[in-house]
Amino acid sequence: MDLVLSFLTSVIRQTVPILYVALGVLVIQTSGILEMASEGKMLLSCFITAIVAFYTGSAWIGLIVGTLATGIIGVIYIWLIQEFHLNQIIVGLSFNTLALGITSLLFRQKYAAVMEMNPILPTFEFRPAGFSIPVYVAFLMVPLLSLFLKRTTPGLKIRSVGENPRAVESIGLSVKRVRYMSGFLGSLLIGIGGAFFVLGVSGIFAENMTSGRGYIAMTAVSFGKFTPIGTLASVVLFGTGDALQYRLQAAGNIIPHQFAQMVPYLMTVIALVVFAKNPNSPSSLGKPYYKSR
Amino acid sequence: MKTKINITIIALLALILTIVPLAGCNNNASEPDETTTVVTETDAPEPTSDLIGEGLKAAMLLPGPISDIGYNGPAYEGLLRIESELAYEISYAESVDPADYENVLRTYAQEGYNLIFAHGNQFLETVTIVAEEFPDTWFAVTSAFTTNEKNISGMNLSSHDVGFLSGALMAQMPDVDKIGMVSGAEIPPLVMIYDGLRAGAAYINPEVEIANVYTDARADMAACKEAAVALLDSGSDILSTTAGTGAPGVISAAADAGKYFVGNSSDWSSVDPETVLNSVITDWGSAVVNTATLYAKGELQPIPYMNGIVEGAVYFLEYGEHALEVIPEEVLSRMDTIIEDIKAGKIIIADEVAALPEE
Repeated sequence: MDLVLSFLTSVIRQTVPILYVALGVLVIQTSGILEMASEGKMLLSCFITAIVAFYTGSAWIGLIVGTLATGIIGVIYIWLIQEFHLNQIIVGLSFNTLALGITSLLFRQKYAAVMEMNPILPTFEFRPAGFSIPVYVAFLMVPLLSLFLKRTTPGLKIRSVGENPRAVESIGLSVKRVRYMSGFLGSLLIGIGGAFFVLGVSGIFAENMTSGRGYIAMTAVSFGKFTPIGTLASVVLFGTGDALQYRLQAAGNIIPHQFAQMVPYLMTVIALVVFAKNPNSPSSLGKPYYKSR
Repeated sequence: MKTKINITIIALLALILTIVPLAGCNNNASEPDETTTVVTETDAPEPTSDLIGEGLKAAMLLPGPISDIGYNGPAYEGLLRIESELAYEISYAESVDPADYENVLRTYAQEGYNLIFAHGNQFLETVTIVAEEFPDTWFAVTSAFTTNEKNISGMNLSSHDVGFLSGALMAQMPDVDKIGMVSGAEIPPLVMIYDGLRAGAAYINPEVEIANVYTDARADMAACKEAAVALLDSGSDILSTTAGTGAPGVISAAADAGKYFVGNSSDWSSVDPETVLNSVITDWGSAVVNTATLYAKGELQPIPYMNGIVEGAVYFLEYGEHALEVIPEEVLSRMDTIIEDIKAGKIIIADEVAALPEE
């Protein structure tokens, strides 16, 4: 029983940060913006959160500041795409490179030496039933986001902008404003993901610490067919694969470690084969929008 | 008018987007010319003893900045030591770009440097070419297991020794029946540390079990922590890792479970002094000093040298305050005996590794 519990804990620990980021990506992608910058945003959030938490000594202040900062960064990202009609893939990728460069540079130049003395960051102390608050909130976000996108006015606006921006424009709504809103909301979620990753999971900041988790989150969204439930399922699938392969290896020489390391990839391939039909992506995803004159 | 401003803004942003990442990622991007040019130390400190290097000139090429902790920094310290202890005249080039390897090597050789250190296996190919042209110059290449058998020496640290020391300490800790190892990747130096660890543990107690988990080469702290938790769940009583930057994750998993950790390559105690018992240091500086001493004596051979416990290049740090409280007295004294036996040639680690059962 202990082993099962520990296995589940391991899955949850790996799932929660990616789940936040994936839900954030989902909100942004639903509005028709191709969100390629989740890796960079997550890393920036990790960095800002780590610095703030280190100097204030409070995980919560770190989380709030890191999250808000990521939200603002998200608005800047949408601004670049909307006002200049830049190629969304290129902006996203340069954003990620920029984030890696800036965080590494600042960390090396200003903080590495100071934080080396006491590298363990403050964490979330209040843990009802073993998990900190952000863990529960993450799973609660899934039905809430489902409701938000399907049943509320702002949610419907976001979806219709993603499907047909012209139609939204024709009834007198501002496409840009809706996308700014979804960019801000989505980036807030990505920000929480980064903040929780550095404070709740890793406990230490390191250069390039996200190492591809932002991209995994992006994949999880398309894998989950652009629904919150599907996204949750694919994130959990990835997390389970990893937790399982480490346990298979640790259990001894039952199977060669190369086979154990294959497990996450194998699970992904099988799931792709089974569920790959109907990608269900928003119709205007990634297409630049020009307001009609 | 508006389009003009927009174009200006885009151009500015493009400029920032290209410059800033470069500055962050590449160690020498800010002033590429300055860092790759040859820096000669002029104000040599007063030599202290054994000035066998008097009149000799040694240079060093480093792939990264001399300020790092684990790899380039220690080698540079070694260069400073051969200046102060052996009276070599020294010079170095840090963060050398692959495109400049040949140029920098040739410049040093032409300027009459007698012994040129190239700190990294990546230099070997270029060194082999340049060494042909300068038969009177001697080259020492780090992590080179083959040489041209004329004027190139390999300068290696013994990974088996690193593993052996940590394995011997871990197997002696009270209530340890199973050792958990988080291996960085399945590459020779890391596999050798793991084999050494098995040999060290088996030397103490052949009954001790060892569980190993391979993460992949890009594994980070969070991934290593999961691997460590899996090891602890499977019954491991003490942990070690070769995952480099992922080590803090392993330490944090050990700390959460109230278990201990033995590190290697650099001093990990600052992460959590209550969990880290000690770290086996791989001292590139001593390897540099050993090589330069042999050269000055005219005894340097064109073979791959292995620097280990005997050569003083692999050793445990001083035990910390907390470690001294939790490690039993007899374990400490037995570790001292083991290290003395290795130095006296009573324990041959290579033989211990060879005697291991197939895994």
